[in-house]
Amino acid sequence: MSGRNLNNEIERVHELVSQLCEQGYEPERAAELNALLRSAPELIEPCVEYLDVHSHMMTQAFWPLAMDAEDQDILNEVFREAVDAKRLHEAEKLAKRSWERQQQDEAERVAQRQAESKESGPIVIVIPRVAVFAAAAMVLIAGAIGLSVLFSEDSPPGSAMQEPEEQTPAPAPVVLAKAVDTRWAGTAPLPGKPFDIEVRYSLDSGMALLAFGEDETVVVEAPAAFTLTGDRRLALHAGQVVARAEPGFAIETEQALIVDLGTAFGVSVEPAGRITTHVFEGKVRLENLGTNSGAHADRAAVEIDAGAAVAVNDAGTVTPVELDPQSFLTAAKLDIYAQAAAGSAYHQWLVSSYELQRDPDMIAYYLFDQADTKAGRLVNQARSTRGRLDGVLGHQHLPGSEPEAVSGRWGHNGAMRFEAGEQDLVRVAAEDARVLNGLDQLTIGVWVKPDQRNQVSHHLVTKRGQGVNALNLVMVWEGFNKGVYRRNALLFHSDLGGTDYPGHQSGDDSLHDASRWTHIAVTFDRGERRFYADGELIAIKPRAASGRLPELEADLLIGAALVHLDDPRTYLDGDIDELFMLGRVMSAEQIYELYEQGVPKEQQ
Amino acid sequence: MEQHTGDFVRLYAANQQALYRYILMLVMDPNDANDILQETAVALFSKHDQYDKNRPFIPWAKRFAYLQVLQFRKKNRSRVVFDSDIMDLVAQHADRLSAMESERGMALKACLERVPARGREVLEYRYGTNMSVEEIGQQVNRSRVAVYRQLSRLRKFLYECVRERLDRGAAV
Repeated sequence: MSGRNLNNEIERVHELVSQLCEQGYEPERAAELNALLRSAPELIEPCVEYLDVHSHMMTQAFWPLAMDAEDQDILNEVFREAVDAKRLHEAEKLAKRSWERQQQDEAERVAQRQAESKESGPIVIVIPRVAVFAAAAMVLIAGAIGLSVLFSEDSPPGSAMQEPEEQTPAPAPVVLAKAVDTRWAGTAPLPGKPFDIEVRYSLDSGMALLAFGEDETVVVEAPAAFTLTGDRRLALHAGQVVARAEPGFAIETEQALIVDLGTAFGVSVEPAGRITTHVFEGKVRLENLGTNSGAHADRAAVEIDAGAAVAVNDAGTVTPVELDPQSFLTAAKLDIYAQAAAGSAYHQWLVSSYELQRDPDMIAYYLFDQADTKAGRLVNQARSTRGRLDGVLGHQHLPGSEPEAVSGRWGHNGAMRFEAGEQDLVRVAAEDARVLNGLDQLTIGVWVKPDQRNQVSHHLVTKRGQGVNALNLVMVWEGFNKGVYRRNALLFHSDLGGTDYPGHQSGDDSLHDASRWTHIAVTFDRGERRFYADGELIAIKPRAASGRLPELEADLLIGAALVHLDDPRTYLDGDIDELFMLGRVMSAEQIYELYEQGVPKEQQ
Repeated sequence: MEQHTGDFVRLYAANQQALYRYILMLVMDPNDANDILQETAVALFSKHDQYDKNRPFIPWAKRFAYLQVLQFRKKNRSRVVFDSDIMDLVAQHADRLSAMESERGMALKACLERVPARGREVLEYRYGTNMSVEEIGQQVNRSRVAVYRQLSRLRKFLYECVRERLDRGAAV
């Protein structure tokens, strides 16, 4: 606080709290209050004490403390209703479980059909015209307006059933087929009506799917600005899009014209003017327009194959860049967002998972899906470290020590089963795991279903050497009473810091004793550790010897610890799903949301 | 069973103001706090069989209240006052104040005695009858701004008075 006047800032905090209490929520005031409190943690105490005076005044000062008989009757009634509601809720859950199983089976069948369709040709998404209008209507205009679109002059009832005449088709109108949380600046597309040609559209927030006829789509993710410039042409002024189209479809930018040769690709126009094109399938031709390029522009057209990406800078220079499919929103992902917005719990979890993968601070994120574990590898899905921190399944010289894929929390996505008796583990090379050295902030979260029949120390994730103090991090669900460590305590060591063993565990029986999915998380904030189970904070341990994770050259192991590789009692025995390591501290609210979005419905 | 039910309801009734205060500190809006308190009551009542009578009620009940606050924030993102990280800190400090709940209450009562009659009148309108600043202004024939400033000054006085009394140990 040097150079700052704390008293003045306390005054300002009180003033802001007073305004918020008297005049209700106001975003600018709330933002200023948060910024002030974040800038000087010593302001929290006067803020809370001031709020405490206000809240005491709201209750104790003028309210009668004694409860009269009428109030007591009301409370008794609420109590009875709550207990009855709980019984009803349990009955509903049983009925829902059966329905959800049917939904999951259907989702698996759809996924299977999509996979088969993908293998048989380049066109994956086929949107019949009526379906386009119906989807637009359902998403954008509820009730009566939606139905009117189906019966509008543009699309009379039954028109989709008429045989097409033998003639050159007119250009198909471009319609908004799907939209999620969209806010447009200026001109907004009318639900179910074609976009206007040569009109600039600016999408401030949300995401939109544009359908060009029946077979071609463009996904626009905000913030973005674009203009439809003609038949099967879109000029992208800012932001990014993903196109899936037939040969001849084109996206124009200031620097380049990207012509589709039958493919799926993403184009991004960055604020500084750089344009990147990423080809996911097929091929595109990039024609460098060299608008600002002068004499040195590389005006030659280049063809870009699937799996490649190029950038064109402001000077018109074309350079290869790393393909980054995760940075683009595809139609399939947009569909996930749409279903999440419609209330699907599974899709809400998918969105949450997708956002985590794209978090720039994400160090490693393992989904344990079967598709990610091909060829004996566990793929790291964190966008910022993709290609590194992949794991190898099993011991190098111990066949059968590879964990096996099993059904996950949602039935149709995967998890992995680690058998302690088989000494199953996943190993991430020390070279990649160096990224953990010296960190002063970290959050580790994981879903785990321990087999509680076997009393083992479930080593979840560890990075340590052979020596007692050679610890970078060790996270364990203790499965039995072992000296100073107690059954069903959560342990997290960053370094031993002497003999403060209790200082590293959450407390006796702070975890449950059942074999069910549990979300556990630990945050490490300059040495202070917080332990969470199923979204709830269960323990805070003050700063240990060091405020940083120690520098250590060792492999990162999932399901085991390097120092105990010969002891089956120190392997994880159970299922594991969705392990992440984030290079910053998550708040209690964020961790609770992770739990809430990921908890299997039958456990709610 | 009936006896246990009655005991639990009485326990809740005796502590609901403290729960309301805790919730209000986290969300600030009294109507939102009331809604969250109701949801908390339903959650508490449905889990009453898990309550261990040998442990203090308020810390157990506050866990439910906190989770209900998180649920509320999730559904009303556009009007949450505290950012997620700041709310963590506020909740921690609120927990610490809870440990001195009765001392703080007694100190506040003593401090209220020191408020002049005209100030007490405004406080009673505001907190006793839940009048808005405009309505208070009509009652005391002052402008909205003047009433607002007076309320701010009165709260500031009470805040400083409570601090001073607790520092001196005068409240106990």
